[in-house]
Amino acid sequence: MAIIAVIAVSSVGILLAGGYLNGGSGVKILDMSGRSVQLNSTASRVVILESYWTEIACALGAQDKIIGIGTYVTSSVFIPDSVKNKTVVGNVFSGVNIETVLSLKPDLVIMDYGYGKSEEIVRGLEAAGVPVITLFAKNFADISNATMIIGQALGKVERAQALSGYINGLHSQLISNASKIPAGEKPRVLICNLDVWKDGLIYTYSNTSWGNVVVDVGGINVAHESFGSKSWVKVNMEQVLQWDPDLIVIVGRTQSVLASQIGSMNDTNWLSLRAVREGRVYPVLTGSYDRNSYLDWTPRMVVGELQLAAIIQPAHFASADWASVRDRLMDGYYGYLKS
Amino acid sequence: MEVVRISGLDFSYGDGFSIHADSLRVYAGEVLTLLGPNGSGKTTLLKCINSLLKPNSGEVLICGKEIGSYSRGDLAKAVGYVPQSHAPSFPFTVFDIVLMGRVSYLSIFQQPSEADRRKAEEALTTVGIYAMRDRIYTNISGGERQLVLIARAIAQEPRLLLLDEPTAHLDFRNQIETLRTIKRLSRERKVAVVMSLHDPNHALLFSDRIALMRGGKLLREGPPDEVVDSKSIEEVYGIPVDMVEHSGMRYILPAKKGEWL
Amino acid sequence: MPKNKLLVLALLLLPMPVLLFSLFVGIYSIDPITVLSILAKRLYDPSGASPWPDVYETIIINIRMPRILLALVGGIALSVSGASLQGIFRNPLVDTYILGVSAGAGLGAALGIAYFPGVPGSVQALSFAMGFAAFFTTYTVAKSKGETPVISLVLAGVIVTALFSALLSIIKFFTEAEKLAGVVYWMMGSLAVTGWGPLSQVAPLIMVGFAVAFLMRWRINVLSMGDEEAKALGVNVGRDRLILLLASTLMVSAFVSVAGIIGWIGLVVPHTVRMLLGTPDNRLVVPLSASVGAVFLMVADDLARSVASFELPVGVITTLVGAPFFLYLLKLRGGSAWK
Repeated sequence: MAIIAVIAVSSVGILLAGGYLNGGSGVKILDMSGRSVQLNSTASRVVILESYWTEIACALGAQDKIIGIGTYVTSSVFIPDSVKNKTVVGNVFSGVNIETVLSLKPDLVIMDYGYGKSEEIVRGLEAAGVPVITLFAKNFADISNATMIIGQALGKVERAQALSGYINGLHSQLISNASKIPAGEKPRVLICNLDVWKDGLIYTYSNTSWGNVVVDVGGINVAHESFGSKSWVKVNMEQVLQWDPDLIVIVGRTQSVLASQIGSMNDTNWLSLRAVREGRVYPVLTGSYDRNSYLDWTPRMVVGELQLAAIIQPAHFASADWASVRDRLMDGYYGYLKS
Repeated sequence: MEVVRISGLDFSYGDGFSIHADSLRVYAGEVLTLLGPNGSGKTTLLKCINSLLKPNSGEVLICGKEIGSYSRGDLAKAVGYVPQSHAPSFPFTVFDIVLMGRVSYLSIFQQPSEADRRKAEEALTTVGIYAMRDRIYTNISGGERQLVLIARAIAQEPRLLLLDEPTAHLDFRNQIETLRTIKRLSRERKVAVVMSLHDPNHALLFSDRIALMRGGKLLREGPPDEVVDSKSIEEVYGIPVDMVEHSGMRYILPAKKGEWL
Repeated sequence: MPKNKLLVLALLLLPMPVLLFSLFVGIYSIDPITVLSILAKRLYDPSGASPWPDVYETIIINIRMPRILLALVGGIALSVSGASLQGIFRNPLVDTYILGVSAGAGLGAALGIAYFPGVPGSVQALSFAMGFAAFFTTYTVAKSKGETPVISLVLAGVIVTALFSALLSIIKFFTEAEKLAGVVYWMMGSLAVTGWGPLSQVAPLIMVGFAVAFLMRWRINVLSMGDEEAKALGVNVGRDRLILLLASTLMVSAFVSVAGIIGWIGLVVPHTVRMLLGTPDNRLVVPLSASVGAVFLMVADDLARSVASFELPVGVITTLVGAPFFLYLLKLRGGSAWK
């Protein structure tokens, strides 16, 4: 009963946050950068620049409405080939060819905001009369919020409600479970990536969606502790030795990248760390390059959270079976991948 | 002793300008001047004698040996070259510049030794500029620079000294001082000197032999008395001149011509 | 001249105390007495018991020591290369990267990061190879009729730099966001990527290059008089210049391949040395550039790794320190060293 209540309450919250105001003719949407976007009707020809928003659109059953995609969408394994074959228009980092977008005659563009060339792309598209919805995920609530906004824009409101309700329920339960863990039982966790610089520079995830998952599931994020609101911080080995974390989560987009990172830890410097000597190093896939990746800005995030919970607080999440949650999510919303 | 022997030399830059020298010899202890107007091929001929330019045909012998058979280093031990002075990019001292004359005696990874330093100091003394030893080369006058470059060539201990218009950009006094020094060195050290000049009077005053050049060709060659007269100078420079005598020396002056001289 | 001799001696010996001092600097606080004890124990009693935690030895011996030594050889590489190139090009404003080595190395590193992620040493090997490839392209382009005039080399260097930079931009354009960040950070330069492994690979190459430049230091004086004069003085200009350019490229490519592009040292250090000593004589300028360059980079990296608990890019520090210092020297001397 408690769970249902939580779901109900949070769904209403999401609806309000998403600015779901479908009154009169057309659709009015408040997007995540606070812009109010007026659509004549729900969009039927949409260009989406990021793989995660594209994935959410597909999970909501709107893949047929996608007519153009961003550069990196094609490398996601959670997007059907029928969508990957659509025209590529560019990306937020290097810019978008507005003419290509216009030639597709879209009635909506969905994209990230806040970095790269996003501002100038939005300005260009709006000047050309194409409505734009901007999104960005810093935490779990943002993923659920984005799901609602995409559902609303593409006319898939019911399915969006069901999906965000489902993941919100799981997330709330996880938060409430974790909140009961006494401070003394929270391990000090380093979540990082050592792909580019090997034993030199280490990318740590501080105040980022993945860095925050560590905190949400009952761990102490050592980078978060030191750097507060900074998001990605590059530190050197000496800093890591100073932290001497209880466990280390290594993230990477592919199995081979993870393997090479783990391989590079077989080195005197890393072996000076307690966590490495005691074998408490956990590789976790992220992003959308591998079907077994869950940490991403999509509904799969909830599986990733449970996965990290099982690593960081195995005793307190013994009953949470992330594999069966994954199966339910895949069966319910990712059926398009099977065909 | 014959130091330079040129026969049938032809050189062309490939842009139409070419020089030709049938026969030219220079002996130890004498000064040969290449005399001619700007663009007559004096510098080009000097560079051919130093292998900075490669003739299309003909032969240049230095001390009896074909110039092409010398390595760069060996040639530098036989031939000292004094270019027209210019300001280098770095403010070396005079001594540093003169010491560079020793590079042909050192292998690629060798630094100059005490003996090389003594040779450089000797060269400074020989030219008479030892007092300038520690001055900054970029701060001294043009005349002084010319002397420094001569000292550097002397430090090479060459059999032949080539000078490209050593009096260019110098004032009257410095012109004469420089030419005196050159003449003295040829006598004292028994070096053969080949220099290019464009002032006929300088050539008359300081040369043992003169080679007249025009349009890339050697016109006449021989002792000043035989080669230089008003007719030959008019032919080479293309203006009317008079020849006068004063205390046993002959001088070339521009001929008087109407109101404007 | 005794005052000058004292200065020369002091500058030549300066790297030693700076090296020792640098060992005291770092995020992990270890007091200097312990640092000295660790060094003493390593020298005299390596297998004996120690009263300090093992991690202290890891930090001093495996983290700080190789990194400081890398800064030392890197400082030598960049400033000696700068000094010899300035002599060869007869221009005191020439910097280490004039022949396109940095653009080539950058392209190689980007190729490694973008297309061979996780292959150990790929970034280093490709950047070293491409640095050399850029140099050979420059040299070949500049060569005509068996001669390589200085002006052609400079022009060819500009062209090759532009070409390789354009290729780099293409790779940046097509690569994904995370790798793009890796490329951008690489370009900024960092000495964090160290440990004894990379150091032992590049230090011998740098020392070979340095030995060549050191032995030819007086010959650089003669080459700085210009091609024709040097030839007339008996120098095989083509051969000697090529040997020096190869030595310089070897040093710079080797260092850049592990540390990325660190600017200003090659320009500032030889200049500073000439102004301090009041002579352009490379018999002094080359060895003193080596020691002053080593000191400069060691100190800059001390700042990079200790000013904040996260890493600062050392290239930014060398520029921030180098440019104003250079300005100060120019003001002080009124540029008189060059008239």
